[in-house]
Amino acid sequence: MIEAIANLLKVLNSETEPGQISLALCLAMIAGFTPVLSPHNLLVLLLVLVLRVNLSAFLLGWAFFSGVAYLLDPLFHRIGLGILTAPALTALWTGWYNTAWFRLDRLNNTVVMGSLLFSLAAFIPAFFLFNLLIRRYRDNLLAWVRKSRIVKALEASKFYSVYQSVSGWRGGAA
Amino acid sequence: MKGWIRWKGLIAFAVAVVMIVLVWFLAVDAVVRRVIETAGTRAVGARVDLAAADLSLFPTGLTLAGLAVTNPDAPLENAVEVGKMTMDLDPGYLIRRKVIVNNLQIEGLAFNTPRKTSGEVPGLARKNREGKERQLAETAKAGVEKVCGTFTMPSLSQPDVKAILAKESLDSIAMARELDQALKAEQAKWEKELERLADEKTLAEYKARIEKIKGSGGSLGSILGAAGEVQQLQADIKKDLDRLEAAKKTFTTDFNDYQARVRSLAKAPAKDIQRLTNKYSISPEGLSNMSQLIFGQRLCSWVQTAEEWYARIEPYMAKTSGGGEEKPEERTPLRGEGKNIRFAESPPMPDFLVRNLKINAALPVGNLTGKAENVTLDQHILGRPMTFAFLGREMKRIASLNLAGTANFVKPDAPRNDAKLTVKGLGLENLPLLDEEVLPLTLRQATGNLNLNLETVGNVLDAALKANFSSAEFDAKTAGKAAIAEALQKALSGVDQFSLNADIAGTLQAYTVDVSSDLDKILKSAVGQLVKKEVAKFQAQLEQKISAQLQGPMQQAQGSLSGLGGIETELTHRLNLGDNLLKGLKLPF
Repeated sequence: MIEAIANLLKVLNSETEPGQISLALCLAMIAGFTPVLSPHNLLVLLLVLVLRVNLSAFLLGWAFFSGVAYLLDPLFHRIGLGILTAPALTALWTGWYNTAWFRLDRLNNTVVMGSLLFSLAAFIPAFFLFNLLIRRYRDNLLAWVRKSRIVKALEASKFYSVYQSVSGWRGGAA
Repeated sequence: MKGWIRWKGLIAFAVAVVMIVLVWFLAVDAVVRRVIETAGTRAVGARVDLAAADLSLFPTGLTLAGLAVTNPDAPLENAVEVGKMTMDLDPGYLIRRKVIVNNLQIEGLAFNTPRKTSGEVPGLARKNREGKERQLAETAKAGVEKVCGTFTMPSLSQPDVKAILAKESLDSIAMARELDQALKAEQAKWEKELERLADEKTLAEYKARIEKIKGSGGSLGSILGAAGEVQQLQADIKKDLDRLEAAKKTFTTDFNDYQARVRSLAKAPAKDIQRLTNKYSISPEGLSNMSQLIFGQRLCSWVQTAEEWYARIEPYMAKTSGGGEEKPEERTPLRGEGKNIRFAESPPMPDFLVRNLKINAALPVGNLTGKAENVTLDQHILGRPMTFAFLGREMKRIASLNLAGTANFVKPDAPRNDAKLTVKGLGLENLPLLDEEVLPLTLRQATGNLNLNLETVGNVLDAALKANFSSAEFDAKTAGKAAIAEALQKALSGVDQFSLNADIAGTLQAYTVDVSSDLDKILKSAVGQLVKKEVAKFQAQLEQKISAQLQGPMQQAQGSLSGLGGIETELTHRLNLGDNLLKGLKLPF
């Protein structure tokens, strides 16, 4: 975990394209919000591995969003219930209910459907938001962070040695 | 764009997928075994052990070996044991999270086998047992109240009339006493009524008024005044006479009724005698269906056992889980896991279905093979009933057994089930039939063929059993000196073959078992005359004793009736006096 945080800090502080970090976080959002054993997460894993996104950002984001998902489960349930029981969509869901992929992915489950829809809807806004935040961080906070006492203290700790050990790795894309 | 693609990632993905598949292959059998044991233990309330599970993908199937389900009421015994269970699963439906078994073969099915170690799970066992004990107690109580309590052998010995009359209250005596009380109350009522009616004194006053009118002078004014008084007097006398007339009419009606009731007292003992005869003495009618007494209790207990099992299974078979409905239906799993919404399927398919089931069971009576089709708890979704057929050949004490039927819960609110059982060469040995002190009866041996047709429609049960037995040998031992019991014993000892018919009808909660047999004729002819003589003797004794007891209260009632007759005499006397007065009252011109 320490290694992953160190790696993320290194990526954030490097010249890595912000989009690669943002995309990793957005994919982590899908994997984290939806139940981990859902088959659609295999597709997420494929995208994470094939697209040049930051793996550390993905792993940390996955852990973070999985934790947040426990808090958001009631919201996901409401969204899923509303969508799946909407009379206007009954014909659509009935058709899809009779397909193997829909049942295999348990998309008739309110939490699965709600969390997937929520994460897909939030995907593009979150991508641009993360991009914006990373750029703002690099422009405004990076210099201050490097000089801060906390970072100085960290530099003297085990954490810094880990940071150093990964600092030679290839920038961000890992 | 090239900068966004990491082709090596494909290899990493492939490796990850292979790893997942490898782990699944290595762990899946153990996981399946564990899941079956855990879920089974929780459901049964006692240990469910599984020696091995083998899940294969190509072809898709599951094989279970060494399945042992502990009997929760006897932890050192397995309720069910299965040697091997082979399932051929439908992979298409498995992806849709439905377990559709095309073929299920069960080999080495055995019941009530011993366990090496106790299969009790303390926490679960307690809960389960409490529920079962409560259920069994309720069922047993209901059973006794329903049918089986009525199979009581009448007393075959001569009842003690003195002891019976000491404990029984007689309606005839109660009737005589009630009538006496009523007559006395009537007497008091009419005596009061007589006080209110015109009596001799009142009539004497009328007479004095008449004399006074007659003595009043002959002037025109006095004559005219007397005419007015005479009219007034006539009206007064007429009014009193009308009241007397009405009272007499009412009295006569009541008196005639009381006379009839006193007369009917003489017949009252007959009802008591009949009631006590029915209660304490064997009647020729009672003997006309001895087979009901002999076989009814045994048959009833079998029907009860079958009904108890049906009651246990029926709630599962008739449950409705939806799925085949047009509207989406919500199902609530564990908290925090959301809800599974079900939509209409085409074609509708239950979550669990065994299309073809083959069973090879090792029962204590021998081997039984069978097959069943469409085994599911959701027949309303499948739209087809479950059919079953079992066959037993050269079993112990049974030459052949055929059982075939249908369990139709396609309409859960109106289930229709039928079964046909044919047993040939059924050997019965030492079968207790009657556990009565006066005539304990056991069927020592018999060989029979029987046919049972059973049908349930909704809650209505209809079954017919026809059986023929040969090489029969009854073991009846008489206790005491009951002549009828001895005669029955003698008649039964001569029976070599007999037929038996039973009709079971009613509802599943309240049914009757009507048994008839050609034994009835044999037994009736053997003891019929004897029973008539015994009954006549008993009735004569009763009549003598009851008449003696009734004599006193009846005489009292007759005395009270005579007293009441005085009221009529008095009323007649007053009416006569009044009539005479009225006749003698004429105008003085």
